[in-house]
Amino acid sequence: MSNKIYRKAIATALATTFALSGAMPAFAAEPAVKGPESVQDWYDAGQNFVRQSRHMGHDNHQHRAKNVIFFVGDGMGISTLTAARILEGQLNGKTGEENRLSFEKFPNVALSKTYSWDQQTSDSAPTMTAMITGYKAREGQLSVNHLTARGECDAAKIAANSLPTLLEQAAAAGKSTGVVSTARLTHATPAATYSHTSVRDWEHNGQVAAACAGVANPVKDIARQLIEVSPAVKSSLKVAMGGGREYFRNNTQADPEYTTKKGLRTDGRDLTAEWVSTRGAKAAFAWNKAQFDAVDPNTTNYLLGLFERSHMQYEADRTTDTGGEPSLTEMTEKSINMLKKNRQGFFLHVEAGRIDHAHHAGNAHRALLDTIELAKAVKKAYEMTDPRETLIVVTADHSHVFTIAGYPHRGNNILGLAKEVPAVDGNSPTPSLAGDGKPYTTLAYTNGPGAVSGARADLTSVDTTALGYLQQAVVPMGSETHAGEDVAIYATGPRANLFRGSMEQNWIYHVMKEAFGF
Amino acid sequence: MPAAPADFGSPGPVTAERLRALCAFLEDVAVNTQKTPIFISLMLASLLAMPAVAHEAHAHAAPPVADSVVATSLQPLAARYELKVNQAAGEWYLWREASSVETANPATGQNTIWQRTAPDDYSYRRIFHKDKRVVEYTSGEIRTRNATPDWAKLASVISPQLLDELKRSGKKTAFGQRAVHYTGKVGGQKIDLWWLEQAQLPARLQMSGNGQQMTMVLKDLYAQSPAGWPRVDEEKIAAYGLIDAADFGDMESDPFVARLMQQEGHGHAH
Repeated sequence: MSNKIYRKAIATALATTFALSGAMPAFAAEPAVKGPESVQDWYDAGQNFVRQSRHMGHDNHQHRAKNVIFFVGDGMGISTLTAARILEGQLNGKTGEENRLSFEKFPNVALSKTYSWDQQTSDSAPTMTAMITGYKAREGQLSVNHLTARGECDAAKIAANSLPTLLEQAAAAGKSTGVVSTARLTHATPAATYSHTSVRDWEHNGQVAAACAGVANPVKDIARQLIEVSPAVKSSLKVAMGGGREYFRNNTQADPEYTTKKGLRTDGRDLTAEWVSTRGAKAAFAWNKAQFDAVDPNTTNYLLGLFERSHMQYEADRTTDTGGEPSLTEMTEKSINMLKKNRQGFFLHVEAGRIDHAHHAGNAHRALLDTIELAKAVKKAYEMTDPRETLIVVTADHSHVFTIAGYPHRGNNILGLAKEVPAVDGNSPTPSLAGDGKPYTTLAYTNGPGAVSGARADLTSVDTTALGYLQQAVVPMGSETHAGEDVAIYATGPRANLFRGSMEQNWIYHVMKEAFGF
Repeated sequence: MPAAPADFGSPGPVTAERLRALCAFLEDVAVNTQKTPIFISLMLASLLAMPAVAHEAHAHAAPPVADSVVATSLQPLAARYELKVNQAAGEWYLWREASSVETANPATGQNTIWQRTAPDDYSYRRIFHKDKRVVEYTSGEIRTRNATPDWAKLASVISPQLLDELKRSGKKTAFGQRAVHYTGKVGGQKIDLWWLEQAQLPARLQMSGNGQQMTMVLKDLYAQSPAGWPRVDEEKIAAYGLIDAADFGDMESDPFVARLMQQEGHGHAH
């Protein structure tokens, strides 16, 4: 079904639903907070942006993209990029500021406005929905339009409101597809590529059952949606790797790595076994590094890798993992080797999902190390592909309230205390002092677990570069929050020059779609 | 409502810092008559052994006191305490095994379980029976929150550092073993402790100051948990909703998580 016909069918289904019910979907009161746009407005604006870019002479590439690789650093705001760039440089023995992360060398850069239909500062569900479907959407919802009621359980209504994703369109076009994340594969960002649901937390069947008791035909949980995708996606989705093993295994199955723990599913299903049994003789499931290494892309057609019960380890902890885990770079490399077997090309989404989690915990060091690992994965992808036929896009879904403060001197340890350029040449830098007479770190958070209660402690003898150090914050919150400022988009390859200026986040989809020629 | 102690919710039994914070908090409570006794009890139980792993934090945390040596010498046991905060009384349970420490506070309907899977590898679960939720902190999350526990403190309620700050002043026999009397003032608070040297547990602990008083008295001590004690039933909690603490930042619209975050949203020392 062409995209145009598909969208018309959605509109017809929606109209029928409303005509029959005479109102918004079941359970729904009118949202108190909402944007003024219609669903179609989001799509039309994205298409207009692409058309305008062509007229402005920005479409000077004749080639379409055979492949698109879409990297998302979850929570990777611009301050995170700056700090990671400096840290990477300093880890390489340089002063740091002059360093550039691999994707910062890409020729095209733009800014992405990350608000969603109902959020000024968004969570990962509507932001990834925007980037992968072309429509801004509601808080907590995955790849359904903004008419979807909160907590909508009815599978028919979810289907009627579902938005086709770029992964699904690539599958329909005969391309191979893949999804990689260091978070759970069922977590919002990767899940938005293949699933459609009104609640991002419905990751296993027990969660749907608890929320949708009494509903005759409830929406499938996200893990199940990964296995029971459409025939086109089932054939196309060659590789899916990340964390979240316990969401795919049932509550009678002992976990292979943490043997006292069991799966979470209450329906008796083992979706990891179903992946293997429903995808032919050359399908594989891997849960540790040794199994991952043993997978030969030339002889394996379908690979499901679930390397942790929940999220994969932070890059800082990865090498000490009990079962062993591949890095984001290694997963990216393996994925490309599997996907490039298709002469028609591929779509691959790669998420560095734990940057966000480390920031939420108020731990900058871990967030920056995961960002550096993302840059390595991008470098590997760039080296493995032909820039004339592969569009690579790197962006974030949202930012964090993460700051780089003070007037530290060139080469000052980015994780250390802020030390200014000495007033007298020949003197060594000493820690700058705040109004309370105490030193402070260059990196900090506006809110979060590191909030100070009462008088600030003296950091003079504190190792603020330690992996476990939590930067100070102002507003006390159990979990540091997202931030609402724009995030950056970096791109190279066919149609990469359509990324320009200030863009609505959902326009990212439209440029990728344009590059594919869908 | 006054703010909770600075490191309320953070892991670990009583330390001098925690005592000072608690007493300051109790002083605030005395001024604010809105605070209910049960809430105070909850706070105390939390102080004693409901480590929230939120933000113990910091590279200059108390130095380990020969953790491995202490841990291996500690005997498995099950203990029941009577916990009294001013006029409010409740119970508090502790189960100690070679690689796990579990606590229960029936009044709040909460259990906590620390497990040590390797010398420096811990996992932690908080079980909220009334909400039918389990919050799990993986080893990576514990490290990220800089909340790696001092196992000796977890297993003995009282930290060795606190004992070092008190004065030995007598002994007697209690629960079939020698109990040593410790007294002193820490953070301006008067402490009276009877310490079971073999069990490495308080037989009685009283803290008082600023018109507030907390007393915990060991009522039962067994080598194995008696039937009927409120220990976690793994089969029962398998039906509870499981939350990875790493997801808190993405779940603030969840009422349970929002409530928990509000409780934990209090700062730490720096």
